[in-house]
Amino acid sequence: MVWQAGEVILGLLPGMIRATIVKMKTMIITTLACLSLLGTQVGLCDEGLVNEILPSVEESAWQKIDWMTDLWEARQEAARTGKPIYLWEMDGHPLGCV
Amino acid sequence: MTDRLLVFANPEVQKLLKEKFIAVAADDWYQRRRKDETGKFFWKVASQGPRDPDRTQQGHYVFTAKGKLLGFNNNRGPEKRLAMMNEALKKWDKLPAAEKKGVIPKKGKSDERYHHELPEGGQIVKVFTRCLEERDGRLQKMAADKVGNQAAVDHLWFQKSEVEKLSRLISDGGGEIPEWLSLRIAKFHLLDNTRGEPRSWKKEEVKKWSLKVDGKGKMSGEFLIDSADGKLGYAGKFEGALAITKGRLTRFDLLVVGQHWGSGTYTQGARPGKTPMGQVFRLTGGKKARDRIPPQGIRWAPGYWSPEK
Repeated sequence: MVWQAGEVILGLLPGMIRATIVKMKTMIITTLACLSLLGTQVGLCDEGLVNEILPSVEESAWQKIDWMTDLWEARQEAARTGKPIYLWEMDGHPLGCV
Repeated sequence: MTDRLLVFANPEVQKLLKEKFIAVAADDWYQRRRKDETGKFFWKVASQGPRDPDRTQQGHYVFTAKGKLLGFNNNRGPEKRLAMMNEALKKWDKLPAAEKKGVIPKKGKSDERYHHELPEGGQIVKVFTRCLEERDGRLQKMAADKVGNQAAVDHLWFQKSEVEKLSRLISDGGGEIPEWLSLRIAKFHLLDNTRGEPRSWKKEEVKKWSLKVDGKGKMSGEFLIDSADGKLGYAGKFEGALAITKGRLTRFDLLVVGQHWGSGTYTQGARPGKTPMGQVFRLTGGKKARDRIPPQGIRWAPGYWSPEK
C-alpha cells in the first residue's frame, strides 16, 4: 500500500527529479539484493555483464516457433493434424549447439 | 545461428511455420547414423533430396508424414526459404487426402548410440557464450549484424546422483568441485561455439584449474586451457552460486569471463589474438523441447559422463 502510494507520488514529480529518484531506487535495490545474497546465498552481482552475454530479444525470436525435436513424434503429429513436416537438419543441433 | 536470426526470427516465416507445418529440428550427425525406425524414415526422405548419401544431409526439408519429399534447400535468407515452403505447400495441396492424414505407428526402440535423453532425475543447465569487446571501460556485446557476435547456446547435463554428491560437498563446508564435473565443464563447455562446432578440449590441455564451492554455495575459481602449439586457448575466472534443496539443484549460476584465442576447423574467423569472451551457466527446468537438446559434447556419452577417465 505504502509502495503503491509512493509510485503515485513519483508519477506526479517533474521528469528530471523522477528520473533521479528512479535511478537511486534501482541502485538501492541492487545493493540490497547483493548484500542479502552475501548473507545467505552469494549471487552474480555483475548482472550487467550477465545481460550482455545472454541472448537478446532479437536473438531469441526463433523460439516463438514451438520446435519439436523428435522426428518420429513430429511424423505422428503431422499425420494426426494433416500438415506437412518442416525439418531443420544441421550438423550440430540447430537449437542448441552453437 | 544465422538461420535462427535471419530466417526463423522472420515474422512471415514464423506465421507460415506455425499455421501450415509441423516444425522439427534435428542434429544430422545423429540422424544420418542411427539404425532404428527414425533413422530409416529419415533416409527415406533424404534419399529423395540432392545430397550425396556419403556426406552430410543437413538442410531444410518439407515432406509428408508418409515420407514423400515436397521441398528442400540449404540457402540462407528468408526469401528463398519462403519460396521453398510455398512451393512445397502447392505440391501438398495437390496430394490426395489419404497422403495427408493417417496413423503412424508407435516409435520403436531408439538406437542408443545415436540418441541421448536426459537420465531419469537429471537436470539441465543452459550454457550461453558470447564474444565481447571492451568499450567505455566495460565488457559489452558487439554489433549483432556479424556472424559470431551472437550468443551461442549449449547444455550442461547432471545426473541425479551427481547433484547429491555436490549437495554433500556443500554441507561438508565446501571444497574443490570434483573432477568429474570440473573436467566436464572444462572439456565440453568452456568452448567458443559462436561461429560453429568447436572441438572439445583434451585433459592435458587444461593447464591450470581451480573451481571451488564454499559451504554457502558460492563458486569461484580460475583456469588456463591451452593447446600444445599455443594456437588455441582460453584463460579466465569463475564466479557464481549454486543451491541444492532436497537433492535437487534449485540454482546454478556461473559467470565465466576470460580471454579466448584461436579458431578450430569448424570455427574459422576468430578475431586475431586474445580477445574477451563471456559465458553464463544457468539452470533451466527443461520444460521446452529446445531446453532438452543433448550437450554437444555427449556424442560419445561415456566420455561426457566420466571425463576424468
